[in-house]
Amino acid sequence: MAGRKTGELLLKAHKVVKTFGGLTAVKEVSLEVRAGEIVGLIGPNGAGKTTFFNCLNAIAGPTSGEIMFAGHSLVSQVSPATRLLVFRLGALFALLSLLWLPLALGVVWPETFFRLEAVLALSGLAFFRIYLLKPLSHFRAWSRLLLLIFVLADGLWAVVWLWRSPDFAEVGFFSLFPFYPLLVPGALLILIAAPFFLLMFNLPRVREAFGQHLRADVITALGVGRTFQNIRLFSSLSALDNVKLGRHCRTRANFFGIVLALPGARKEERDSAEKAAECLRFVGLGKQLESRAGSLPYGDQRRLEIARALATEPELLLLDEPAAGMNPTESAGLINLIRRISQAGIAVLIIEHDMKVVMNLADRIYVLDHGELIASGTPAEVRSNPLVIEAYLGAQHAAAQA
Amino acid sequence: MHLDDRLFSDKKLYLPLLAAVLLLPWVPMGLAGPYVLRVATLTLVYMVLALGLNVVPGFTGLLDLGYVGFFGLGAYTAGLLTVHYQWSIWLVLPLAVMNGVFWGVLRGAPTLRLGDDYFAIVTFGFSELIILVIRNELWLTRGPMGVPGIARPDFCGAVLDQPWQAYYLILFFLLLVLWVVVRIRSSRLGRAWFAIREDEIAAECVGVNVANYKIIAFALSAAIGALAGAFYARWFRFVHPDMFKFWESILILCLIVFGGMGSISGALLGAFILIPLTEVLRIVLPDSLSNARYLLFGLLIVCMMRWRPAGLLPVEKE
Repeated sequence: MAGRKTGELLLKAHKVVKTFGGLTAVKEVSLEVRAGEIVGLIGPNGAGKTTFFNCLNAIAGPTSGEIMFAGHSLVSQVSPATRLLVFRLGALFALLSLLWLPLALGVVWPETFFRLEAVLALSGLAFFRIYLLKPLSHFRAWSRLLLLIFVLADGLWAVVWLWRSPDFAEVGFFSLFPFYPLLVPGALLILIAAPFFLLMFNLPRVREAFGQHLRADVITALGVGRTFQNIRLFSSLSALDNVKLGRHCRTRANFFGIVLALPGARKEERDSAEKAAECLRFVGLGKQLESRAGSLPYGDQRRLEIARALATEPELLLLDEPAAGMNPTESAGLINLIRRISQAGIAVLIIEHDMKVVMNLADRIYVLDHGELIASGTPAEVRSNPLVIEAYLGAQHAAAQA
Repeated sequence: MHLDDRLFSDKKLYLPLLAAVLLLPWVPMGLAGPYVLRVATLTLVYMVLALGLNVVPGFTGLLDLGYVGFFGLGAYTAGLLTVHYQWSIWLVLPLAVMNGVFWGVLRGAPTLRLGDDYFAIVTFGFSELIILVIRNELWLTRGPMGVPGIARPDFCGAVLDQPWQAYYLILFFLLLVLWVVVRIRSSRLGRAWFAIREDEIAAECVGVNVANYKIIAFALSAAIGALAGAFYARWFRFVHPDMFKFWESILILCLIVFGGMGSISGALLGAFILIPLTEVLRIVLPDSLSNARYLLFGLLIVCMMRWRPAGLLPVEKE
């Protein structure tokens, strides 16, 4: 949709591993999807197909491996330059927050100082610092050291304040403190900088640098839509509202725009209703706009889920067993729908058990078995691959076919 | 079309209702007049509270058992600021609301990953904590002595000392809150909350930043609670820790369960029925039984659960 050339590399997964405790559900799976393609992912039950999808859109991020989507790394892949930037930001943050405590207590309670407030304020500040630096703790040893420094500093201040006289004027501690004149401008700086850091730590790039996976909603906004094996609709909302929710990541209206009914927010709401209705018509649910999603027939729920994913304007659509539980007529309709999606310029990665559907649709197929990639190629190649036959039908059948 | 969508768009619906509430102070009721007006004002306060609570359990689907904490926080913030500085309600009120938002967000941040039951426990604990601090920090809140002598609300320098003036004031706040929640309900923001309520994982996958939207819900809910509290303090002119017991949280929750979780008109109707009912029962029952009115109240809720489990005005049509 973003005007990519057919054949341009869109998704590249390299040696993706996902382990749950001792169990390796996905073992070094590498896979590519190019713009305009329909790629199938098949395998016997429990082969790790859905787990792999969950790795792709960070519902359960991979244990290791790389996933690149349209130039973005969906898994942490830290360049030295970014790492240095993050390190500097982290250090600055650390220094600023060391100034925070005496300031907060001195500015807010210059005359009356009460122990309860000290404990509350200290634990609150410590909590926030740890909350902010939690991403750091996933990263490297130095970040843990930083965390430790914060906690120790908090402890030190707590001890100092709790042991001192409650009267700020009598404390005398800060008169000895050489940087006391810097504290007031420092306080202002921190007040301005704290929200900035809060934002910085939530930016995708910084999170990447911290070794965090991108959040699922960020990945959706980058252009990866998905549906689920066990349908996950917002069942008590109407079909239209479900699809409008797909527009969520493409709309901007905020609290004030909505409450004050600003023209921008109202226009956006109208637009998203229009686009949502368009998506519903595209999948053939144009007449069920107001029906409750949970009470739609099964096949319609599947298509509604696809409409919701389409409303997010994906470049890559992940379909998890869209034909499960469908009769031949319905699955023929589904094949047609996926073709039309593909013609609209959206690459499709599809998990499917129904061989008729997947052989019919896919340009290329990857086969997983017990978490490992055992074969890949065009449908014809995969169909005659002895390893695939063995995985599905057992070794004897494979021998008989050969 | 659901009733909630028509609240501000259907003239046939809102004009008669608005006329009724506007004319209520002028209906001649003889000696009962001031009492009825007082109950009506109290009902409107609870309507605001019900609308505010509705945002978290009703819209976002997280059970909140500690709403009275924000009510108390707002009431004490407004009460103390008024007593100490004699500020106008129009200055005190925003400050109380901001204080509510601050603590609402602070409570929200660590509870983001908690599931239903655990979240409920944290909310309960947090509200008890607020009330405990109010009760014990004598230097700030005077603790169990309460804060008497809070000035009445004022408007453009004039003191609003007539009951009908206070009534109109809370009516104004109610309409304000109603406007906010009705607008949000049919917007991108409200839908994000509904998505979180229905299925958090699916919400993430359509691009809803679950953590942010939960925080917004907590902030709005706390703001509305503090608003009601601030008005209450200025109207009642006295605040005391005993006015913010756990029972109040349950009462407010009952209002929205009674009316229908997540339904705005339901929350209003719940408060409209249950709050005057407690007053009616207080009069009807003999003195020795007057505390048994909560028993009848419980019975009513049990009957509701039996015959209308989704509330009087449920959100979804079956």
